[in-house]
Amino acid sequence: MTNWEDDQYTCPICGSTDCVPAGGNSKSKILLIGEFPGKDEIRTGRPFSGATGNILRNELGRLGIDLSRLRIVNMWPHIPNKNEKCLEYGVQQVIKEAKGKQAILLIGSDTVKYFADKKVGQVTGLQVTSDLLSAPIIMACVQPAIAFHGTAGEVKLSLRKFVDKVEGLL
Amino acid sequence: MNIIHDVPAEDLQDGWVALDLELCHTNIKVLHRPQGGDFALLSIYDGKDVYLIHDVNKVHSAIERLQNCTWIFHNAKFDLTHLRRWAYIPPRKKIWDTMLIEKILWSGFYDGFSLADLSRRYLDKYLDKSLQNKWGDLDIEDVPPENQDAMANLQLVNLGEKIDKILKKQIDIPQNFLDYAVNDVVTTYDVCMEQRKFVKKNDFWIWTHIDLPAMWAVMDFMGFRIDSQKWLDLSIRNKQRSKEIDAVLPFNPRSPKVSREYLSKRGFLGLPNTQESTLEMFINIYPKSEAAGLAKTCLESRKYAKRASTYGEKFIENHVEQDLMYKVDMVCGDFNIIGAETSRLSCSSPNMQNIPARDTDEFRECFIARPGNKLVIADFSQQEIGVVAYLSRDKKMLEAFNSGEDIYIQMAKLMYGKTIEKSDPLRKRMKSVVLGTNYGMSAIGLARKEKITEDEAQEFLDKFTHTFSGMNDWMNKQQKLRNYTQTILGRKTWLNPYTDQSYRNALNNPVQGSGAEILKLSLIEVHRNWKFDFPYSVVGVFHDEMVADVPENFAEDVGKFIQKTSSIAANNMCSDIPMSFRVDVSIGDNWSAK
Repeated sequence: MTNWEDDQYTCPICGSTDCVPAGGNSKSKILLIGEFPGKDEIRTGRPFSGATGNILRNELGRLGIDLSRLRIVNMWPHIPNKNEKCLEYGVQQVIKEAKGKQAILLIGSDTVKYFADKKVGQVTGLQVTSDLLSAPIIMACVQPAIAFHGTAGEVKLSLRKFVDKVEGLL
Repeated sequence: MNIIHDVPAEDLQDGWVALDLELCHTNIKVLHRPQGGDFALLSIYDGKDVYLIHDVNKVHSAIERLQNCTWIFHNAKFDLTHLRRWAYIPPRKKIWDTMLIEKILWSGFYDGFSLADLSRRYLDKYLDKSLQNKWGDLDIEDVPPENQDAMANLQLVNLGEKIDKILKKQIDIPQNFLDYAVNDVVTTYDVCMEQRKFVKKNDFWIWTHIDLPAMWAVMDFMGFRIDSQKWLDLSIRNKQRSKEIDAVLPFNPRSPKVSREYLSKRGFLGLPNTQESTLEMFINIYPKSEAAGLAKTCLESRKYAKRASTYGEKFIENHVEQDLMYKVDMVCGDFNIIGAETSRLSCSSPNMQNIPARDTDEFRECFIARPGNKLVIADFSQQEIGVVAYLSRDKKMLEAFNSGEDIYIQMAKLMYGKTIEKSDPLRKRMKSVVLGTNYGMSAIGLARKEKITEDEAQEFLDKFTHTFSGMNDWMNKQQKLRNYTQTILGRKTWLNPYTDQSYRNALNNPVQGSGAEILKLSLIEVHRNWKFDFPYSVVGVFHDEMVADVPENFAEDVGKFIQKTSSIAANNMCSDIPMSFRVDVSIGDNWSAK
């Protein structure tokens, strides 16, 4: 953090200092949108730096993609609270990030519900449409953390389908 | 693609056709039952045209038109069970079930196997299933009573000798439901065409030689007769027992918060919760505390309360139906051919495999033979150990298993070089290790289970590893697997490296999966070779057990037949080395006769 006037780690709505701003490659044409930061993300200040991020990193790595080459952001700026305005603020940040992007991956049930109004289980690995986002390719993916408790197939397949679609953009 | 509201005009030639049956007047929990629901629509798609059969009386002729084709279903057991009410359908080979084949291909890799899941995976298509459960609400008029006699002349007898009157139904199916049906049947066909590209030779062999014939054998299960009154009496007794135990407890055992606080104050220091496993652990840690006695009573109370609720009046209300031939109550569980990742059969609505049996015979005593019949209960003896011995090729273990004697005594004898009695604690310890190592049992786990010190447990494990080094080598090899495990017959189960269960699954999957294959092969052979003067009478398979309900005079013969057929099927499966799988048979009036 170098800009003292623009404290990205503090929520302007509720004052929480646990905000995690967008990260990764700001010039990337591809944006991954997650749900909310976990403890590890809050500690490091970087999205997808925890256990879930590791799954994403591993699986994208197996497909030949370095996660750091992509832009990444969460829908909630911090751990969800009951303040809808915090969510709205987070979504505005996401929409800003999404501007000009060629491909977006919505990750997790809340994200898919919010932006595409669909249940993630029904559309993971598929292209979806969104009233709030306008990239030519928008796809859905289940929350990678499901692999800790169940199977990993849907995560792997959804990421592979996404990578197949965006290969030319990398 | 044309949509034709009639049966195909002529026989469809040697191709692939997808079929999908829709029922109405249904309760989703009883759809698997042979009498559940009424006919609404049969859809057929041959890759060019969709045929929609609205008239139940045309089902038989529609099926006749498809005899040369391979039939594609998604969950064939459901469709075929009901189609057999209206058409003669003997077991056939040319069936492709996209759901079961998906499980053969991807067990352990995916959780979901619905048609919508497969549509996403193979076709990149979202399949709207929102109408799936709404078919039951469609308005159907029965045939006016004056026409029923004429229609009843169209009776057909299916393989299971269940007779079903065919009554013409008048049904107005709204267009959106017809669109849904067309979409489903076309998707089933398209998924199959894509899925075929992934099916390798051995996957196809497993489908055609194990799961498909097992499906036919399961579809012909008779319901299991139940003594409903005895069950209800038992339910009342369990409620009473639970109340009596509650009365002596100074706290409410059903409140986790209150129980935890009370037990913490009476000696269970740091008790984190009151789950069964936690309480059992704390009973072992503080055996002489006041809390230990209270915790035991608390667990007893919960046990009876659960029995009274899960296996009480609702069980009878929800699951009992009439056996039309014998006019007795029966229960028809929904057996899933590949019910678990390991390919084990599972059962639901109700789950007959979960009927309490460990420390009580009371529930099994309620499941009885039909009038004039006996139950024949065939049980594979020490099947999983035989599988481990076969997979690991451990010579000493094979020797112990094939000796036909008590395996744990034999293994202890090989390990300590002395003969032990059945009551010797070493036998019990051996049993814990043999069954437990397969699930990754450690010295700590063994010490806790056998109430010995960790050093003693480690010493026992070291000696075990040294004596049965072949098994140890096999376990080490399995634990290095990263992608998938395979059963004796080569069925794959995918491993998920992100779970902490991965190592355990690498050991457990091939053992449980091979055990399931043994049971299925036995069932297939029993079904295929049933040559008695009465219909195939198996009522279910439950873990390593097969139960048949047969006329008393034939019980001995059926017992011998199942015993011989099953053990040959198991031994043939492991034909490259001599194996002696054994099947124990008991005959009795109720399921507890074992």
